[in-house]
Amino acid sequence: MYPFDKHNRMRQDLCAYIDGELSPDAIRKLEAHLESCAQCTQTLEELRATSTQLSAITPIEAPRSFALTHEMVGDTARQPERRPGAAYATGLRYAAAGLAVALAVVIFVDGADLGSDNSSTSTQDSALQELDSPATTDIGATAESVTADQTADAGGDDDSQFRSGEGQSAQGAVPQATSAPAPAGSPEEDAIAPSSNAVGGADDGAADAESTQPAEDSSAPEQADSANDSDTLWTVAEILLAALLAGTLIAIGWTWFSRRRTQI
Amino acid sequence: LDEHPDEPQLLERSRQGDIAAFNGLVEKYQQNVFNLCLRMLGSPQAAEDATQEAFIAAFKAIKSFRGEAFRAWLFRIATNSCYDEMRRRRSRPAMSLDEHRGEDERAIDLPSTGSTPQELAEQRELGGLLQRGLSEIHPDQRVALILCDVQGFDYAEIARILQISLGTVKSRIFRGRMQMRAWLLEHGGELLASRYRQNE
Repeated sequence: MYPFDKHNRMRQDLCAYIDGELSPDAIRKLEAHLESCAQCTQTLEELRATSTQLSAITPIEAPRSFALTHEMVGDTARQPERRPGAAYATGLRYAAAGLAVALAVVIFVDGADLGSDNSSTSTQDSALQELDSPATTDIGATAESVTADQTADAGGDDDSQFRSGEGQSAQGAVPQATSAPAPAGSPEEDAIAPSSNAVGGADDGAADAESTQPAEDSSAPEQADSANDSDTLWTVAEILLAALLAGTLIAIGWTWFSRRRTQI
Repeated sequence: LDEHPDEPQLLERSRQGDIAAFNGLVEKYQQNVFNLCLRMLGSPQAAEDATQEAFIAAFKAIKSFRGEAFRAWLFRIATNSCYDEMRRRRSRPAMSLDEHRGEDERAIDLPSTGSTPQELAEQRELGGLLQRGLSEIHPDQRVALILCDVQGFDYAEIARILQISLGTVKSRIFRGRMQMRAWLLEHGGELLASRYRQNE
């Protein structure tokens, strides 16, 4: 007689034996047990017959079609697959559009300012040249006052150039862009013209010139420096925006390409 | 059990929400799913409801399906749908599965091996006996037994479908089949004895 637990364990392998799910070693052990256990042999045959009866159940035809309709599945149908990155795709598109607009604005405004900056820079340069020449010839206080007056006028022209530039930029980008060289030339003429005027008007403006001379002498280089700083900032901003725009466009392209690939 | 030649394409399109493509899969598997539900629930009406719910659930979840055997994945959903249907009908006495016992016996069918009217009547009787016997088994053992004996899955596939260990599959099939054997021996009488003799 086999101990009860061993008999019970072997019995539990009967179904796996019928279904071909036992390992070769387990099969050998079970078959050895079956040779000496009539009860397990009988149970094996009954279980085999039961399995045969169940397997003989003929699948019946489905009574109707279970095809789905849009009403059954609601919003699930015909929605594109929400891939992990898809949630960002729309945001990326809006970001790209925003960046493109921002870049266009920066380029436009910078283009407008470049004309003005060139004008003001050349004006300042010519004014500084005028300042240098009286200083080197040392023609006296009157000449200094006249030069100071020229500087004052040149500074005034700087302002007028900025205003002029602003006015032009308000008129539109195309005229500004096409006439970009013109403002660069005109300030030189303006700078010369006030100098002749300044000689004629030296008496009128001498007092003002004397009182404003130190301030004007120091403000002109500062304006040039600040203009250069502004240019640098705009350039950096442009590069950053261009890089962001390029990155965004690449990301959108990649998303589009991935989606196309999964649809194939 | 062979995979449909266009199945990967139908699956891919179904993932994108193409309901027509998914209906291609429904057409292929609806008979298998309906028979699983019928053997599990014992009522054609309940089986219809469970089958329909299973396909709806499968379509809604198909985006999460990744590469594994679609049939096994679908049967897992169908099994869950059967459990849901059992719970639903338990909570509503008017929908009890017991009311459909008469239908159950008509619904089950066995291959026509007999030529005489008496043999055919015996087959019908045995079909009813098998379905009633299945209904007596615990649902966990019943589904394992149906998947193995009726649907033809091996133990590893059943373990994947039911998300249980191989040892548990083996245990459930053994207990379920032992209970079924006891039922048939008790209620089958001469009918089953004659069938057993035929098999020998």
